[in-house]
This record gives sequence, structure tokens and C-alpha cells, in this order.
Amino acid sequence: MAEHAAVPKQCGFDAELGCFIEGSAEWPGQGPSAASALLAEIKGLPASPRVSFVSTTYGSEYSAGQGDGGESGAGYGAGHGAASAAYNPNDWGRKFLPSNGGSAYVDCNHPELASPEVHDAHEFTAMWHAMLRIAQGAWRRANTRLRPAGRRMVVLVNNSDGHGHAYGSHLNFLLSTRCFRNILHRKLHQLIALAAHQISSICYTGAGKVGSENGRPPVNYQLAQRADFFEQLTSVDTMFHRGVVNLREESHAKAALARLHCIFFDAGLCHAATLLKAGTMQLFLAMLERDEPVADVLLDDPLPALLAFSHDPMLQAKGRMVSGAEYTAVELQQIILDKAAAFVAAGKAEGMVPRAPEIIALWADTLEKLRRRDLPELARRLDWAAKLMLIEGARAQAGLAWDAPELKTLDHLYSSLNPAEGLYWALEKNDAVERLVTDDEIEHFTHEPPEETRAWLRAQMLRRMRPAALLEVDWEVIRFRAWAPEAHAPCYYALHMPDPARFSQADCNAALEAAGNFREALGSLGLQQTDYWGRALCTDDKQEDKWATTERRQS
Amino acid sequence: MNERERPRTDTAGPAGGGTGTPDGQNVERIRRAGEEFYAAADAAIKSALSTNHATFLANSRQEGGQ
Repeated sequence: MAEHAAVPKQCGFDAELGCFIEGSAEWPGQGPSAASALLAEIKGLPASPRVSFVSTTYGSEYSAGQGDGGESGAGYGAGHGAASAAYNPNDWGRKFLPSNGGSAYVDCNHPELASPEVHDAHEFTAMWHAMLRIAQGAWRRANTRLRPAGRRMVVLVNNSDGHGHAYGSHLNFLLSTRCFRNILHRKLHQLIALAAHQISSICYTGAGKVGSENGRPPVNYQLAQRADFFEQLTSVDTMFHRGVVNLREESHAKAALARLHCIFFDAGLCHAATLLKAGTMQLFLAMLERDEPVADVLLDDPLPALLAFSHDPMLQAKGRMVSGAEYTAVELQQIILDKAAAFVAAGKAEGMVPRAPEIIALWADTLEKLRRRDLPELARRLDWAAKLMLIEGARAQAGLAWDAPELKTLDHLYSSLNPAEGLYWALEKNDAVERLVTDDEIEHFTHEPPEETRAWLRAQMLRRMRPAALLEVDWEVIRFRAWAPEAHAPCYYALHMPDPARFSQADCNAALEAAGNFREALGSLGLQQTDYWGRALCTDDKQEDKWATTERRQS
Repeated sequence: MNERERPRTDTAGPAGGGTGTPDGQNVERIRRAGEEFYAAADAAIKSALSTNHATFLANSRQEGGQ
């Protein structure tokens, strides 16, 4: 068995939000202004224009000079935006959050929320809502500062605008490099099986959408918001020629580890849909990690099957398999569930997928409700079903046709971050939808990092650093400078965190206990002295003395 | 009958685990559940339906993304 056969299926998300400003007749929408104003209200680092930030994601460099994370008294004019800064449109203004170790930035004029690495699907669900709650607070503050009066920012947790534009809600999963290469390059039946799982899972992960886009056949209502936008089975692109399986190879970790960047899924709000989205992917990838046989779940032509499944909320559409059999999305999911259940029962998910039996139980119960198409029950846990119930109700009450603009408005406002406006929040407030994570768990992650991943140390570092001392923050590294007493120039340090499963609270506490203080603990966790560019210098025996002196100077 | 009320008629049986064919009780259960569900978001829906839809939808146009 390969070295990383039991790599824990840590996961995370990077999700773009719909965002615009109402009230400007001369320039409708103003998405870029809305996105940058929202970002400016999220507290993170770097926050000073003097701090240079480098993202390994895109190799971009810029000076963060926008906002202060909610402490500025400045208002936003209608034209306020990113135009004055030199920026990469895919990754602008990125800041990391000392609160929970996550990140926020502007991506293609959308505010983007990137979670810290989380341990399990329950944490994923709580973190998803925590990041939305952080964005909700930013939205609230930004709205009070919009000028002139009468303008209003709207933030939507959705993936398409109904005008033919899609924006992503991406998931990320930790894999062994061996497994990653198997899926993408060596055992392509695993890739097709993964695509089949993703495609058929829209029966519970879809966020629901009125109408179709991107030149697809007309439809009243469909399960998934992104289904119309996938044009290839695989692709490295994310803005066009989108592939069901994304080929990006960017691990943010050491060579033995890889990250599957999944651009397929919708951003939902129902807890069960969110938990299943992450949890079933964890299990499926764990099965691939163990080389479980999956050759019986290969869709013969995945893209037409995706469209057929999505465009049929009656759940009757069938996809043809390579074997010649034809299955509905629910039937195909049942086959995958049976495999996963046996896999978990045999103990093969241990060490990879925490709380796997709970995922299996929720998965099985949801498929049973889908099999019966028990819409009242499904509406309590799946976004597409909840939205359909509400829209059908509105149609019946107001006598609206499916192409009425009122229905598209309801479609959008289902996911508005405004708690007084978003239909989902009304359902939640009135206990009409299931809650699988508590309000306390969500609130916890608005100000604390996950304990089981390197996000914990990232957050602790960001909390302790003077903002001006930070040179670089990214998922796997933090670089900063500090002054040594005998030096006439600053010393530079880098803490690399190449293993997402290390640097957890337990690891750091053990290091702290042995070292006695945080600075010395960092040394045992791998802190290196470097040159300005981050290249490691020889180990300096006096480094700890420098730290002590630095602390005195700073105090 | 709309999509919400239309139960499956295949061998899997209808919602609620009945006899395999839609019956009045089942349709009534779904209708009642639908009304209760709708009522939970009634105020938000009324507010949404009073929006200037043309303006809202024009403003909601985004510039694409990943």
C-alpha cells in the first residue's frame, strides 16, 4: 500500500457569491464595486497598503490598500472599486482571517469566501454557514456606508445570474498524490466514475433554478444551477469550457499530497445538502484512495446525462451506463451508496473520513425520500426541493406562469444573505428546514479555527503577528520579519506548513508544552530564518535570543 | 396538479409509502405540507413579490466568474 493510502479527506471550499448594488439607474448592478466594498468589511490580513502579498495560487503580487476589515469610517461612493489598484482579476485583495484561518478576496468581480481546511463534513457544514455569517456581517456594515442614500447591496449565495453567467462554488479535497494521479492520469475509469457520482448527486446537492441558460433547451425548473454550464468531461479551465472534473494540479502541500479542486457543485444553504455534498465526496474519494472497484458506475456519456438529470425535477430521467443499463440519478446514487456503505462497514474509511456512518445514514435516508419523491420531506433538507415548494406555492397563489419575472426574483432571493429578505432564512427561523449543525457550532467558527488542521496554527500566527511584520500569507506558509538586537536590518522568517493534517491544536499544544512559550514552539514546528525572498538560511543557534529581544522591542 | 403534488407512480410507490398509486389522502397530505411550508416563508415571499422585478433582475446581472 502506498505511503498516503489513508490520507484524511480534509476538505474546504472557495465560493463566489452573487453581489450587486440596487439603486443606480446609470450603472445597474455595479458588481465590482459591491464585491470590493464587501471585502473591505471583512477583517483580515494583510490589511495595510505597506504589506506586500504574494499568492502562489496565481503567482500574483499586489499591495493591499483597500479597507480595513470594518474599522474604517470611510463611506463608499457609487464608483468605489478595484479600478485604482493593479490587480489580478482572479485574486484581488486577498486577506486571511485571524478569526478562523480562512480567506476572502475578489475573484472575477465576485466576493469569494475560502474556508480553512476542515476535518469532516459536519465541520464543513458549520464552517460554510460561519463564513456566510461573516459575509453577512460585512454586508450589513457595507450597506450602512453606501452612498448616496437609497442604494442597497444585495448578496446572493447562488451560482448563476439567470443572464448566462455562472460563478463557482468549489470544493477541495486532500488526496495522496498517487490517488490524484490515478484519477486524472492513470486510471481514467476512476475519473469517469467520479464524474458519475458528481453528476447523479445533483438530486440532493442541486440548489434549484428557474429556467435554463447557456443555450440549453428551455425548462421550467431544474435541479442544479451549474448543470447548464458544463461543456466537457474534464478541463483545467474554470471560466469557460468548464469540465465536470477539474484538472488543476495545485496541492498547497508537500509533494506526497495533492488537492482535488472540484468546480462542479452548487452553493446551497440547507444543512443536509451541504453535508452530503462534502461527505459523499469524501467517501467516494476514500474509495478511490483504496482502489475500490467502481467500473460499474460509469456513465456512457456523462454530459447529456447531467443535463437530463438536472432538467427533470420529477427525477425520472435516465442516464445510460457503459454497461448498457439505464439508471435515474437516484438509482445510480443508490448503487454508489451501497458500495460506500459496505466500504464503511468494513472499516476501510477509518482514518480518512470522520463520522462516516453518520454520512451513510443521512445519504441512505435522503435517497429513500428521493426514491419516493416525498417533496414535503425533501424540502426540509434539500435546496432544490425547498425552492420548488415555495415557487409552486407562489405560482398557485398569484397565478404566475413559469416565465414570470417574479419567479426568477424568488429564485434569486431564496439565497439572499439579507436575513429579512432571504427565503431560506425565513424557513430556518420557522423550523421548516432541518438543522444538522447548531447555531453555537456556526458561531464558534466565525471566531475560531478548526482544531484538527493546520488552519489552527495559521489563525494563531495571524493573531500574534503585527500586521506590518507580515510579508506573505498563504495556505502553506507564513513569512514575516522581526528585528534582532545586534542587527541593523530586519531578520526574515518563514513557517512552512506542508502537511494540512499537521500543525493542529494538539500538535501545537504539544510543542508549546515542551518549549514553554509560543515563539520557541514555533522553532520546533519548523520556523526557519530566511533571506528577504524566503530562502532558508543556516540554522542560527541564537535565534531564540533574537526572538526574546524582538518581543521586548515590540512591547 | 402541479409538480409539487404529482407523486411517483412507479413500483417504488408514492410518497408516504402507500399502495403504489396516488390516492386522495396522499395528495391532500402533500398539499397541506406544502401550505405549511409556504407559510413559513410567507412574509419574505410577499416582500419579494412586491419588488420591482425588472429593475431587480437587470441589476442582478453579473460578470461571470469561475
